Amino acid sequence: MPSMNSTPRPCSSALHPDRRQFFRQAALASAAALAATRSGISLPAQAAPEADIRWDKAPCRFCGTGCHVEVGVREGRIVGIRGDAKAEVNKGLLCVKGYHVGMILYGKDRLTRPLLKRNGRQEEISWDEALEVVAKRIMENPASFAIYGSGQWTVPEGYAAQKLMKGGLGNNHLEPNARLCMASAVTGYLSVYGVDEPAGCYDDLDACDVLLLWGNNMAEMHPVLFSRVLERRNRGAKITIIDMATRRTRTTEHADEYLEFRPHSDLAIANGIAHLLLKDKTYAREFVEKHCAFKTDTSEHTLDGKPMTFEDYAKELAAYTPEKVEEISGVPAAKIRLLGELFGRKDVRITSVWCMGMNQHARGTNINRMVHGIHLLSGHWGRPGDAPTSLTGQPSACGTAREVGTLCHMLPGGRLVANPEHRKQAEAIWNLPEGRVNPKPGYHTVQLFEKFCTPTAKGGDIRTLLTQVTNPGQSLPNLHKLFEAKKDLEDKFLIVCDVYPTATTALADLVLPAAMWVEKNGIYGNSERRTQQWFRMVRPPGEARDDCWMTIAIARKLFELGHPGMKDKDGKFLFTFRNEKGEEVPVWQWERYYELNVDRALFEEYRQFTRMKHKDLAPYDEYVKARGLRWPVVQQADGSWRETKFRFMEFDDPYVKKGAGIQFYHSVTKDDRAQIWYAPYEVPPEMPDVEFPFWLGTGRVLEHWHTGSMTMRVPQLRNAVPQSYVEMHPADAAERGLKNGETVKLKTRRGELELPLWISGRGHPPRGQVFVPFFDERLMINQLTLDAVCPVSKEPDYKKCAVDVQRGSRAQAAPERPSL
Amino acid sequence: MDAFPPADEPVDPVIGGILVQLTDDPAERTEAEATLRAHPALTVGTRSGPWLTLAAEAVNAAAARDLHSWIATVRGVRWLEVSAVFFEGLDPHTAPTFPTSQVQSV
Ligand code: SF4
Repeated sequence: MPSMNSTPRPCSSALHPDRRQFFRQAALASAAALAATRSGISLPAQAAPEADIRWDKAPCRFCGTGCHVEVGVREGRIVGIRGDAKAEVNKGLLCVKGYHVGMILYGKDRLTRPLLKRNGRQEEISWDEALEVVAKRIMENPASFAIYGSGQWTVPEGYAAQKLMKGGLGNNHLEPNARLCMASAVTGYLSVYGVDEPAGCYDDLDACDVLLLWGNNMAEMHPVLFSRVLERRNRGAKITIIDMATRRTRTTEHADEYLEFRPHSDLAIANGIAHLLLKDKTYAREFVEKHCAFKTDTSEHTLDGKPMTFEDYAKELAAYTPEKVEEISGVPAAKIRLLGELFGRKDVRITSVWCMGMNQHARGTNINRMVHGIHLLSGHWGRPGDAPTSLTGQPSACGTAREVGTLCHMLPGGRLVANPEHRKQAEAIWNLPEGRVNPKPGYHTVQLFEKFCTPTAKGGDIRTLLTQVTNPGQSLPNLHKLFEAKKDLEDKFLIVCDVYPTATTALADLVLPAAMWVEKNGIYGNSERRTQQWFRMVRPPGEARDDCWMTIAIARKLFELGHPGMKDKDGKFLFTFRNEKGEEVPVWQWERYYELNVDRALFEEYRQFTRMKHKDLAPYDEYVKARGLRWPVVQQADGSWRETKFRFMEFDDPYVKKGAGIQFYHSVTKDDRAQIWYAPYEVPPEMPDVEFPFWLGTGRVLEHWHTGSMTMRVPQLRNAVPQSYVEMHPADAAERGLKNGETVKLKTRRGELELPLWISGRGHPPRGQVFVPFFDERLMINQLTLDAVCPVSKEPDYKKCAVDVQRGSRAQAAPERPSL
Repeated sequence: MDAFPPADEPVDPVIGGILVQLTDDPAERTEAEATLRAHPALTVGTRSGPWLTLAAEAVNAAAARDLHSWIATVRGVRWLEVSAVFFEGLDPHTAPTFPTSQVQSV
């Protein structure tokens, strides 16, 4: 008989035997329901305890995959989670985080009252006092106020912040944390196609013959998508998985080919593939002549670059022979040839995917451009399964940061603050007097925090900063400089809206307790352009309230204090909502906030922007019925709404001209062509040397989401990976006399940190590299990371800096070992 | 770090619903059902043809994965899928607190 090593350990008494029995019955009933979905067979459930549980749909709170869950609520509490079998994204499947997502609401240290720092202590105050404090700080100097939000903001939350800042205060210092994760993908899409976000979708994963992962540990970061591919393989499909990475991960275990490259050298590999396509004349000549033009990066590193000829492009690539690429990247020339040959084949479909490996990169825009370029050059573009597709880390990095445009230079619907026509369009939709929207872009994230952490007298002109749904005190790079320096600055004021105490609330002057996930209505937009809606299912604890309400209530206080920007051109409050009878509802009063659906009202207003760049969204009520719809969602002659899976392709995209086949209708060259970019391999801003001889890379693990503020409060997830660690190659450890489990000291030019060593653990860095996850707020690796950014996207490079590794000063620790 | 409860601290289990598809061989099906019934963390529900429902208890993600892997190895099991996870036992009064030692106001 097989081992039963999973016999349950003793349980706490909180789960009463009757309840346990109830949930066993509910579990059996859910399995019976799944059997009906999978096979059509109706299995009798022994009891019908599910009758007590009300199930409703929501997207998962965590990653950008955007799985749908069904949330089971009983007596006002979440009691169960199941994968939503009706959802196309995950077809009923969830990853370990998803199955535990309901527990994130119930950590016992939820923030439940506003807290104001007085005499060094955070003391409880009323909401009214809190709003007064915020509004007065803004009124003192509206231009020095900034909001830092999130790719976890819902669409209405981001839109409300956008309207308050750009439409109300005429202030563009609004940024989302998505600057730290997706900005390079955005600048990549914009400079290649003239419009952001993938042309394809997850259906490409169902149709590809080759899945090429560019520095993307998909098995841990987008596990349900990876399972979707593995499931095809299990059913007998032949899919070749090529893992190109800087360390071995769980993804590597499933790969047919593992190509390990030196950090930053993906630039050379991409050029090496393009070189071979030209040299072997296997590039898609007809496709390129018809649909593409060529551009090159310049020393100014602008979004537009400079046009170049095909001949010049070929000349630049001539140096990137397989042997040269091997010298730079460490990948054997034979493997570079393998990639070149693969892209040269017309009988296979290739999907490239990437996430932070390519985006958090000091040349993030260029590597994004170049991967699109290889697909265009080879013609592996424009059929299901032939696609270059970025994946997002956050559940609404696409929906809220990119589409709502909560970046410092953008307006909703792909509009730019610097463009007079675009400002006019926004002012018209918001009914504002002409000239209200400020033409000057605000500060990007790294600049914003630099300014906030610099004394006002020395030019630090951001004095009051409000953060929502994000934890920059742990997630920013170079934390000592970009966050912790705020500590000693008396005239700076930090307002943090969050659900739990974090490294960010620790420095807050004012903490506002927030509702989370299904404690509020919401809309997210996932990696594949899918907009997803859910309703509030449970009440938030104590006095925690919706982030969107907070924004509107702050605006109302400003209105009452006489800020002229809070009125539209007819003198009406910016956030005026009416019920079905046409009566104004004062939603800034919390008791009245849910008298109407504010999400619906904001979404319907926002929708007007979405049609301006062919990112059309359907009416709110269509999303209530669906498990998400991929934009552009266009109304049909019969009144129904149709989503678009494949953009720019005539067979699916209604905006492509009849007979065009493929049409890049937002082409930056205005001739329906996409741009194939050349950029050289360049050395990264910091490399290992004698003093700091290792590469340091950072990232995530399967069980924890980002800074761990939610998942570390779920015992099942926390116990699986209870603390951070450093992964190191056994030979490097042996050379330094370091043993598994002992405490080591990591030191970079920015700081030092002691943490346990994990040799031959989950990830396997090669010699000369170490890896540390960033989820643990007690071991904040971002105190050591580099704040160098991609010059175009302004996204920092968290994946590589130089570090030294020594024995730690603390006694040998007995770290809690993560489970494999 | 000291404020962290140890990884093996008793916590409430999660209870998962699992749908198992058994192989076509009737003898193997019977054997599989008996093996699964004998596991202390499993409650076996109804069977219809190759389909069998289970409720499984596990105290953490690693135990859940072990259990999942073990079920997959049982002779007569072709395939399994998690249908839901229940966890009402975790309530605000018993849930372990995340250490706040580093997140107090300064
Ligand atoms: S893959 Fe992402 S979206 Fe899906 S269940 Fe896991 S964390 Fe949630």
